[in-house]
Amino acid sequence: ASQVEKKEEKKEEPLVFEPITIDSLRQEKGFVKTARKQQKELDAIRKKQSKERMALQKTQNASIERLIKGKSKDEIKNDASIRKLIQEQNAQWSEMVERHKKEEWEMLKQQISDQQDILRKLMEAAQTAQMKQLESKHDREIKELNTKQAKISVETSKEVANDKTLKTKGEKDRRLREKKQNNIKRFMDEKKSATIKQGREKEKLKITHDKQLESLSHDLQKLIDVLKVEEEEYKIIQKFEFFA
Amino acid sequence: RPLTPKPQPSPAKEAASDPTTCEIANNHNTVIEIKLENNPIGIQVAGGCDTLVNTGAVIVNILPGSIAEKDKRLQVFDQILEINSTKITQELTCELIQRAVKQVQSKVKMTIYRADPPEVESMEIELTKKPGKNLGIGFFTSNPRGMLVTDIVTGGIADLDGRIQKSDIVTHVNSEKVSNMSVEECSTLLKAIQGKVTFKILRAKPKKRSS
Repeated sequence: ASQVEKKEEKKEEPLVFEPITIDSLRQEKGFVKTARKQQKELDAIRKKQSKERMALQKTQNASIERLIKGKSKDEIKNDASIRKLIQEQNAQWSEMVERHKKEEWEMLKQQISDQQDILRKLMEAAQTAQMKQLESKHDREIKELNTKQAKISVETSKEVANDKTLKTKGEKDRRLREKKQNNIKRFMDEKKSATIKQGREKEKLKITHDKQLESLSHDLQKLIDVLKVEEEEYKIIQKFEFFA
Repeated sequence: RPLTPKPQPSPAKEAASDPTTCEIANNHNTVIEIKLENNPIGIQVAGGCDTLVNTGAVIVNILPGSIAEKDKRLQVFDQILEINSTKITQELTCELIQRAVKQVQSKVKMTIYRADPPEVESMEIELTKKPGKNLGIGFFTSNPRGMLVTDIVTGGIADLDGRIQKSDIVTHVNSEKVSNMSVEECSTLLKAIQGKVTFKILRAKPKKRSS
Protein backbone atom coordinates (compact mmCIF):
# COMPACT_ATOMS: atom_id res chain seq x y z
CA ALA A 1 0.00 0.00 0.00
CA SER A 2 2.86 2.36 0.77
CA GLN A 3 4.25 1.80 -2.70
CA VAL A 4 0.99 2.86 -4.27
CA GLU A 5 1.08 6.00 -2.20
CA LYS A 6 4.61 6.79 -3.29
CA LYS A 7 3.62 6.41 -6.91
CA GLU A 8 0.75 8.80 -6.40
CA GLU A 9 2.94 11.36 -4.74
CA LYS A 10 5.59 11.26 -7.44
CA LYS A 11 5.19 14.37 -9.57
CA GLU A 12 4.60 13.86 -13.25
CA GLU A 13 7.51 14.89 -15.47
CA PRO A 14 6.78 18.11 -17.35
CA LEU A 15 5.61 17.37 -20.87
CA VAL A 16 8.09 18.85 -23.38
CA PHE A 17 7.19 18.65 -27.05
CA GLU A 18 9.81 18.45 -29.77
CA PRO A 19 9.36 21.23 -32.32
CA ILE A 20 7.82 19.96 -35.57
CA THR A 21 9.68 21.50 -38.52
CA ILE A 22 10.07 20.84 -42.23
CA ASP A 23 13.41 19.21 -41.42
CA SER A 24 12.06 16.98 -38.66
CA LEU A 25 9.17 15.89 -40.90
CA ARG A 26 11.59 15.09 -43.72
CA GLN A 27 13.13 12.41 -41.48
CA GLU A 28 9.79 10.60 -41.17
CA LYS A 29 9.20 7.34 -42.94
CA GLY A 30 6.20 8.66 -44.83
CA PHE A 31 8.37 11.34 -46.39
CA VAL A 32 11.61 9.44 -46.92
CA LYS A 33 9.82 6.93 -49.13
CA THR A 34 8.41 9.65 -51.37
CA ALA A 35 11.70 11.55 -51.45
CA ARG A 36 13.49 8.43 -52.63
CA LYS A 37 10.92 7.87 -55.35
CA GLN A 38 11.21 11.49 -56.47
CA GLN A 39 15.00 11.38 -56.54
CA LYS A 40 14.83 8.28 -58.77
CA GLU A 41 12.45 10.09 -61.07
CA LEU A 42 14.80 13.07 -61.24
CA ASP A 43 17.87 10.91 -61.83
CA ALA A 44 16.07 9.14 -64.66
CA ILE A 45 15.15 12.34 -66.47
CA ARG A 46 18.69 13.71 -66.00
CA LYS A 47 20.18 10.54 -67.41
CA LYS A 48 17.87 10.74 -70.40
CA GLN A 49 18.82 14.38 -70.97
CA SER A 50 22.49 13.65 -70.57
CA LYS A 51 22.25 11.01 -73.31
CA GLU A 52 20.57 13.48 -75.61
CA ARG A 53 23.26 16.07 -74.90
CA MET A 54 26.05 13.66 -75.68
CA ALA A 55 24.40 12.57 -78.91
CA LEU A 56 23.95 16.15 -80.08
CA GLN A 57 27.54 17.00 -79.17
CA LYS A 58 28.72 14.11 -81.25
CA THR A 59 26.86 15.15 -84.38
CA GLN A 60 27.76 18.82 -83.92
CA ASN A 61 31.40 17.93 -83.47
CA ALA A 62 31.50 15.79 -86.54
CA SER A 63 30.13 18.52 -88.79
CA ILE A 64 32.47 21.17 -87.34
CA GLU A 65 35.48 18.93 -87.74
CA ARG A 66 34.60 18.32 -91.36
CA LEU A 67 34.50 22.07 -92.01
CA ILE A 68 37.67 23.14 -90.18
CA LYS A 69 39.88 20.32 -91.37
CA GLY A 70 43.17 21.70 -92.69
CA LYS A 71 42.30 25.32 -91.99
CA SER A 72 44.44 27.63 -89.82
CA LYS A 73 43.12 29.42 -86.75
CA ASP A 74 42.77 32.72 -88.60
CA GLU A 75 41.10 31.11 -91.57
CA ILE A 76 38.57 29.55 -89.23
CA LYS A 77 37.90 32.89 -87.54
CA ASN A 78 37.14 34.56 -90.84
CA ASP A 79 35.32 31.74 -92.58
CA ALA A 80 31.68 32.77 -92.99
CA SER A 81 30.35 29.23 -93.38
CA ILE A 82 32.08 28.06 -90.21
CA ARG A 83 30.73 31.01 -88.28
CA LYS A 84 27.26 30.33 -89.61
CA LEU A 85 27.48 26.69 -88.61
CA ILE A 86 28.71 27.57 -85.12
CA GLN A 87 25.84 30.00 -84.67
CA GLU A 88 23.37 27.37 -85.81
CA GLN A 89 24.90 24.85 -83.46
CA ASN A 90 24.79 27.27 -80.56
CA ALA A 91 21.11 27.95 -81.23
CA GLN A 92 20.31 24.26 -81.56
CA TRP A 93 22.14 23.48 -78.35
CA SER A 94 20.58 26.27 -76.35
CA GLU A 95 17.14 25.23 -77.54
CA MET A 96 17.77 21.74 -76.23
CA VAL A 97 19.19 22.95 -72.92
CA GLU A 98 16.18 25.20 -72.45
CA ARG A 99 13.83 22.29 -73.08
CA HIS A 100 15.76 20.15 -70.60
CA LYS A 101 15.71 22.86 -67.94
CA LYS A 102 11.97 23.36 -68.41
CA GLU A 103 11.39 19.63 -68.09
CA GLU A 104 13.38 19.55 -64.88
CA TRP A 105 11.72 22.62 -63.40
CA GLU A 106 8.27 21.20 -64.17
CA MET A 107 9.21 17.99 -62.45
CA LEU A 108 10.67 19.79 -59.43
CA LYS A 109 7.57 21.95 -59.12
CA GLN A 110 5.33 18.90 -59.20
CA GLN A 111 7.56 17.22 -56.63
CA ILE A 112 7.40 20.18 -54.25
CA SER A 113 3.65 20.27 -54.60
CA ASP A 114 3.42 16.53 -53.82
CA GLN A 115 5.77 17.02 -50.88
CA GLN A 116 3.60 19.83 -49.66
CA ASP A 117 0.59 17.53 -49.31
CA ILE A 118 2.63 14.87 -47.56
CA LEU A 119 4.36 17.29 -45.21
CA ARG A 120 1.07 18.95 -44.27
CA LYS A 121 -0.51 15.59 -43.48
CA LEU A 122 2.53 14.50 -41.48
CA MET A 123 2.50 17.75 -39.57
CA GLU A 124 -1.20 17.46 -38.78
CA ALA A 125 -0.68 13.89 -37.57
CA ALA A 126 2.28 14.86 -35.41
CA GLN A 127 0.38 17.78 -33.94
CA THR A 128 -2.70 15.67 -33.24
CA ALA A 129 -0.49 13.16 -31.45
CA GLN A 130 1.02 15.91 -29.31
CA MET A 131 -2.41 17.27 -28.48
CA LYS A 132 -3.62 13.77 -27.50
CA GLN A 133 -0.58 13.38 -25.29
CA LEU A 134 -1.40 16.63 -23.58
CA GLU A 135 -5.07 15.67 -23.17
CA SER A 136 -4.23 12.31 -21.63
CA LYS A 137 -1.87 14.09 -19.25
CA HIS A 138 -4.78 16.34 -18.32
CA ASP A 139 -7.10 13.34 -17.83
CA ARG A 140 -4.53 11.82 -15.51
CA GLU A 141 -4.26 15.02 -13.53
CA ILE A 142 -8.03 15.21 -13.07
CA LYS A 143 -8.18 11.56 -12.04
CA GLU A 144 -5.45 12.16 -9.47
CA LEU A 145 -7.25 15.19 -8.18
CA ASN A 146 -10.46 13.15 -7.78
CA THR A 147 -8.60 10.44 -5.90
CA LYS A 148 -6.96 12.98 -3.66
CA GLN A 149 -10.27 14.66 -2.92
CA ALA A 150 -12.04 11.35 -2.19
CA LYS A 151 -9.25 10.52 0.22
CA ILE A 152 -9.65 13.83 1.98
CA SER A 153 -13.42 13.20 2.32
CA VAL A 154 -12.80 9.84 3.98
CA GLU A 155 -10.18 11.35 6.26
CA THR A 156 -12.53 14.12 7.28
CA SER A 157 -15.24 11.61 8.25
CA LYS A 158 -12.71 9.61 10.26
CA GLU A 159 -11.41 12.69 11.98
CA VAL A 160 -14.86 13.75 13.10
CA ALA A 161 -15.80 10.24 14.20
CA ASN A 162 -12.69 10.02 16.34
CA ASP A 163 -12.90 13.53 17.75
CA LYS A 164 -13.23 13.03 21.53
CA THR A 165 -14.25 16.64 22.13
CA LEU A 166 -17.49 16.08 20.27
CA LYS A 167 -19.74 14.42 22.80
CA THR A 168 -23.10 13.86 21.14
CA LYS A 169 -24.10 12.45 17.79
CA GLY A 170 -25.79 15.75 17.04
CA GLU A 171 -22.50 17.63 17.58
CA LYS A 172 -20.63 15.18 15.39
CA ASP A 173 -23.20 15.43 12.60
CA ARG A 174 -23.06 19.21 12.70
CA ARG A 175 -19.26 19.28 12.62
CA LEU A 176 -19.23 16.77 9.77
CA ARG A 177 -21.69 18.86 7.79
CA GLU A 178 -19.53 21.94 8.31
CA LYS A 179 -16.38 20.23 7.29
CA LYS A 180 -18.02 18.65 4.26
CA GLN A 181 -19.28 22.05 3.23
CA ASN A 182 -15.76 23.45 3.48
CA ASN A 183 -14.37 20.52 1.51
CA ILE A 184 -16.87 21.00 -1.28
CA LYS A 185 -15.83 24.61 -1.68
CA ARG A 186 -12.16 23.70 -1.64
CA PHE A 187 -12.64 20.85 -4.10
CA MET A 188 -14.54 23.05 -6.50
CA ASP A 189 -11.82 25.70 -6.36
CA GLU A 190 -9.14 23.09 -7.01
CA LYS A 191 -11.03 21.69 -10.00
CA LYS A 192 -11.61 25.16 -11.36
CA SER A 193 -7.97 26.21 -11.19
CA ALA A 194 -6.85 22.87 -12.69
CA THR A 195 -9.25 23.36 -15.59
CA ILE A 196 -8.01 26.89 -16.17
CA LYS A 197 -4.37 25.77 -16.12
CA GLN A 198 -5.11 22.95 -18.54
CA GLY A 199 -7.01 25.27 -20.84
CA ARG A 200 -3.99 27.56 -20.95
CA GLU A 201 -1.66 24.69 -21.75
CA LYS A 202 -3.89 23.59 -24.61
CA GLU A 203 -4.15 27.11 -25.95
CA LYS A 204 -0.36 27.49 -25.83
CA LEU A 205 0.18 24.24 -27.72
CA LYS A 206 -2.44 25.26 -30.28
CA ILE A 207 -0.59 28.53 -30.90
CA THR A 208 2.71 26.67 -31.28
CA HIS A 209 1.07 24.35 -33.80
CA ASP A 210 -0.40 27.20 -35.81
CA LYS A 211 3.02 28.81 -35.98
CA GLN A 212 4.56 25.54 -37.14
CA LEU A 213 2.02 25.24 -39.94
CA GLU A 214 2.78 28.78 -40.95
CA SER A 215 6.55 28.23 -41.09
CA LEU A 216 6.01 25.03 -43.07
CA SER A 217 4.15 27.01 -45.73
CA HIS A 218 6.88 29.62 -45.59
CA ASP A 219 9.66 27.05 -46.04
CA LEU A 220 7.83 25.41 -48.95
CA GLN A 221 7.33 28.79 -50.58
CA LYS A 222 11.09 29.33 -50.36
CA LEU A 223 11.65 26.13 -52.34
CA ILE A 224 9.22 27.30 -55.01
CA ASP A 225 10.87 30.74 -55.06
CA VAL A 226 14.25 29.21 -55.90
CA LEU A 227 12.76 27.58 -58.99
CA LYS A 228 10.98 30.77 -60.02
CA VAL A 229 14.14 32.83 -59.68
CA GLU A 230 16.17 30.25 -61.61
CA GLU A 231 13.65 30.35 -64.43
CA GLU A 232 13.72 34.14 -64.56
CA GLU A 233 17.52 34.27 -64.46
CA TYR A 234 17.86 31.65 -67.13
CA LYS A 235 16.11 33.95 -69.58
CA ILE A 236 19.16 36.23 -69.27
CA ILE A 237 21.79 33.52 -68.92
CA GLN A 238 20.59 31.83 -72.08
CA LYS A 239 21.64 34.78 -74.22
CA PHE A 240 25.24 34.59 -73.11
CA GLU A 241 25.76 30.89 -72.68
CA PHE A 242 27.38 28.38 -75.02
CA PHE A 243 28.73 24.86 -74.79
CA ALA A 244 32.00 23.54 -76.13
CA ARG B 1 28.48 83.97 -12.17
CA PRO B 2 28.93 82.51 -15.57
CA LEU B 3 26.78 79.52 -16.29
CA THR B 4 28.70 76.37 -16.76
CA PRO B 5 28.31 75.71 -20.44
CA LYS B 6 26.17 72.74 -21.15
CA PRO B 7 28.19 70.03 -22.82
CA GLN B 8 27.44 70.14 -26.49
CA PRO B 9 25.90 66.95 -27.81
CA SER B 10 28.85 65.16 -29.32
CA PRO B 11 28.54 65.22 -33.08
CA ALA B 12 27.63 61.84 -34.50
CA LYS B 13 30.98 60.15 -35.04
CA GLU B 14 30.02 59.22 -38.53
CA ALA B 15 26.61 59.36 -39.98
CA ALA B 16 25.49 55.72 -40.17
CA SER B 17 25.92 54.99 -43.82
CA ASP B 18 22.69 54.34 -45.63
CA PRO B 19 22.68 50.72 -46.78
CA THR B 20 20.57 51.58 -49.81
CA THR B 21 23.26 53.83 -51.26
CA CYS B 22 26.59 53.24 -49.46
CA GLU B 23 29.53 51.98 -51.47
CA ILE B 24 31.17 48.69 -50.57
CA ALA B 25 34.44 49.27 -48.73
CA ASN B 26 37.51 47.16 -49.33
CA ASN B 27 38.46 44.75 -46.57
CA HIS B 28 35.55 45.68 -44.33
CA ASN B 29 32.08 44.36 -43.71
CA THR B 30 29.55 46.51 -45.50
CA VAL B 31 25.80 46.18 -45.13
CA ILE B 32 23.90 46.99 -48.28
CA GLU B 33 20.26 46.89 -49.19
CA ILE B 34 18.83 46.58 -52.68
CA LYS B 35 15.19 46.98 -53.70
CA LEU B 36 13.96 43.93 -55.59
CA GLU B 37 10.19 44.36 -55.79
CA ASN B 38 9.85 40.60 -56.18
CA ASN B 39 12.33 40.40 -59.06
CA PRO B 40 15.38 38.15 -58.96
CA ILE B 41 18.50 40.02 -57.87
CA GLY B 42 20.53 38.50 -60.71
CA ILE B 43 23.64 37.31 -58.94
CA GLN B 44 25.08 33.84 -59.09
CA VAL B 45 26.80 32.60 -56.01
CA ALA B 46 29.33 29.82 -55.46
CA GLY B 47 29.89 28.16 -52.12
CA GLY B 48 28.66 25.54 -49.71
CA CYS B 49 30.28 22.91 -47.53
CA ASP B 50 29.64 20.33 -50.27
CA THR B 51 31.49 22.27 -53.01
CA LEU B 52 35.12 23.19 -53.70
CA VAL B 53 34.41 26.72 -52.51
CA ASN B 54 33.76 25.61 -48.95
CA THR B 55 34.95 28.56 -46.91
CA GLY B 56 32.20 31.02 -47.75
CA ALA B 57 29.72 32.23 -50.35
CA VAL B 58 31.08 34.32 -53.19
CA ILE B 59 29.45 36.15 -56.07
CA VAL B 60 30.75 34.67 -59.32
CA ASN B 61 28.40 36.31 -61.79
CA ILE B 62 26.26 39.39 -62.11
CA LEU B 63 23.70 39.00 -64.85
CA PRO B 64 23.56 41.73 -67.49
CA GLY B 65 20.44 43.85 -67.19
CA SER B 66 19.64 42.48 -63.73
CA ILE B 67 18.84 44.51 -60.64
CA ALA B 68 22.29 43.81 -59.19
CA GLU B 69 23.97 45.11 -62.33
CA LYS B 70 21.86 48.26 -62.40
CA ASP B 71 22.64 48.86 -58.71
CA LYS B 72 26.33 48.82 -59.74
CA ARG B 73 27.73 48.17 -56.27
CA LEU B 74 28.24 44.41 -56.20
CA GLN B 75 31.21 42.85 -57.98
CA VAL B 76 32.36 39.40 -58.93
CA PHE B 77 34.34 37.85 -56.02
CA ASP B 78 32.50 39.84 -53.35
CA GLN B 79 31.91 37.57 -50.38
CA ILE B 80 28.43 37.34 -48.86
CA LEU B 81 28.55 36.98 -45.09
CA GLU B 82 24.88 37.36 -44.37
CA ILE B 83 21.81 37.61 -46.56
CA ASN B 84 18.34 38.44 -45.22
CA SER B 85 19.41 37.42 -41.72
CA THR B 86 20.71 34.06 -42.96
CA LYS B 87 24.29 33.93 -41.76
CA ILE B 88 26.49 32.07 -44.25
CA THR B 89 28.23 29.60 -41.97
CA GLN B 90 30.67 26.84 -42.85
CA GLU B 91 27.96 24.24 -42.28
CA LEU B 92 25.56 25.49 -44.96
CA THR B 93 25.22 23.29 -48.03
CA CYS B 94 25.21 24.70 -51.54
CA GLU B 95 21.46 24.11 -51.68
CA LEU B 96 20.80 26.10 -48.51
CA ILE B 97 22.95 28.99 -49.72
CA GLN B 98 21.10 29.06 -53.04
CA ARG B 99 17.81 28.99 -51.12
CA ALA B 100 18.91 32.04 -49.16
CA VAL B 101 20.04 33.95 -52.24
CA LYS B 102 17.14 33.10 -54.53
CA GLN B 103 14.20 34.53 -52.65
CA VAL B 104 11.29 36.46 -54.03
CA GLN B 105 10.89 39.56 -51.89
CA SER B 106 10.58 43.32 -51.86
CA LYS B 107 14.21 43.98 -50.87
CA VAL B 108 17.39 42.18 -49.99
CA LYS B 109 19.83 43.05 -47.22
CA MET B 110 23.35 41.67 -47.36
CA THR B 111 26.57 41.93 -45.44
CA ILE B 112 29.37 42.00 -48.00
CA TYR B 113 33.13 41.65 -47.61
CA ARG B 114 35.22 42.74 -50.55
CA ALA B 115 38.77 41.49 -50.24
CA ASP B 116 41.40 43.55 -52.02
CA PRO B 117 43.19 41.87 -53.69
CA PRO B 118 40.44 39.31 -54.40
CA GLU B 119 40.86 36.00 -52.63
CA VAL B 120 41.18 33.60 -55.52
CA GLU B 121 43.19 30.59 -56.43
CA SER B 122 44.55 30.61 -59.94
CA MET B 123 45.59 27.55 -61.89
CA GLU B 124 46.28 26.24 -65.32
CA ILE B 125 44.46 23.21 -66.57
CA GLU B 126 45.35 21.45 -69.79
CA LEU B 127 42.80 19.25 -71.50
CA THR B 128 43.11 17.36 -74.76
CA LYS B 129 40.26 17.58 -77.23
CA LYS B 130 40.04 14.34 -79.14
CA PRO B 131 38.25 14.13 -82.47
CA GLY B 132 34.57 13.29 -81.99
CA LYS B 133 34.63 14.25 -78.34
CA ASN B 134 33.61 17.47 -76.69
CA LEU B 135 35.03 19.29 -73.70
CA GLY B 136 31.51 19.32 -72.33
CA ILE B 137 31.66 22.67 -70.61
CA GLY B 138 28.94 25.29 -70.50
CA PHE B 139 30.30 28.85 -70.43
CA PHE B 140 28.69 32.16 -69.60
CA THR B 141 30.50 34.86 -71.53
CA SER B 142 29.39 38.25 -70.29
CA ASN B 143 31.51 38.19 -67.16
CA PRO B 144 34.12 40.97 -66.86
CA ARG B 145 36.58 38.52 -65.32
CA GLY B 146 36.33 35.89 -68.02
CA MET B 147 34.09 32.99 -68.98
CA LEU B 148 32.14 31.53 -66.08
CA VAL B 149 31.78 27.75 -66.08
CA THR B 150 28.03 27.19 -65.75
CA ASP B 151 27.81 23.49 -66.46
CA ILE B 152 29.94 20.39 -66.78
CA VAL B 153 28.28 17.88 -69.11
CA THR B 154 28.33 14.36 -67.73
CA GLY B 155 30.67 12.10 -69.67
CA GLY B 156 32.48 14.97 -71.40
CA ILE B 157 36.26 15.46 -71.35
CA ALA B 158 36.12 18.03 -68.52
CA ASP B 159 33.84 15.84 -66.46
CA LEU B 160 36.13 12.82 -66.80
CA ASP B 161 39.19 14.96 -66.02
CA GLY B 162 37.46 16.45 -62.99
CA ARG B 163 39.67 19.50 -62.38
CA ILE B 164 37.51 22.23 -63.89
CA GLN B 165 34.45 22.87 -61.77
CA LYS B 166 31.21 24.75 -62.02
CA SER B 167 31.69 28.43 -60.96
CA ASP B 168 35.35 28.53 -62.04
CA ILE B 169 36.19 31.55 -64.17
CA VAL B 170 38.30 31.00 -67.27
CA THR B 171 40.45 34.06 -67.96
CA HIS B 172 42.61 32.69 -70.79
CA VAL B 173 42.28 29.98 -73.41
CA ASN B 174 45.66 29.00 -74.86
CA SER B 175 47.10 32.30 -73.54
CA GLU B 176 44.39 34.29 -75.30
CA LYS B 177 42.46 36.60 -72.98
CA VAL B 178 38.72 35.81 -73.12
CA SER B 179 37.19 38.42 -70.81
CA ASN B 180 34.78 40.72 -72.65
CA MET B 181 34.63 38.42 -75.66
CA SER B 182 31.17 37.81 -77.15
CA VAL B 183 29.41 34.44 -77.23
CA GLU B 184 30.20 34.12 -80.94
CA GLU B 185 33.89 34.88 -80.51
CA CYS B 186 34.27 32.53 -77.55
CA SER B 187 32.40 29.67 -79.15
CA THR B 188 34.31 30.00 -82.43
CA LEU B 189 37.58 30.04 -80.53
CA LEU B 190 36.76 26.96 -78.49
CA LYS B 191 35.03 24.93 -81.16
CA ALA B 192 37.90 25.43 -83.59
CA ILE B 193 40.54 24.12 -81.20
CA GLN B 194 41.76 20.63 -81.82
CA GLY B 195 44.15 18.81 -79.53
CA LYS B 196 45.54 20.53 -76.47
CA VAL B 197 43.62 23.35 -74.76
CA THR B 198 45.09 25.24 -71.82
CA PHE B 199 42.68 27.04 -69.55
CA LYS B 200 43.84 29.60 -67.06
CA ILE B 201 41.22 29.73 -64.35
CA LEU B 202 40.35 31.64 -61.21
CA ARG B 203 38.52 29.93 -58.40
CA ALA B 204 37.10 31.89 -55.48
CA LYS B 205 38.84 31.02 -52.25
CA PRO B 206 37.43 33.31 -49.57
CA LYS B 207 38.85 33.35 -46.04
CA LYS B 208 36.54 32.11 -43.34
CA ARG B 209 34.71 35.12 -42.00
CA SER B 210 31.60 35.92 -40.05
CA SER B 211 29.29 38.86 -40.05
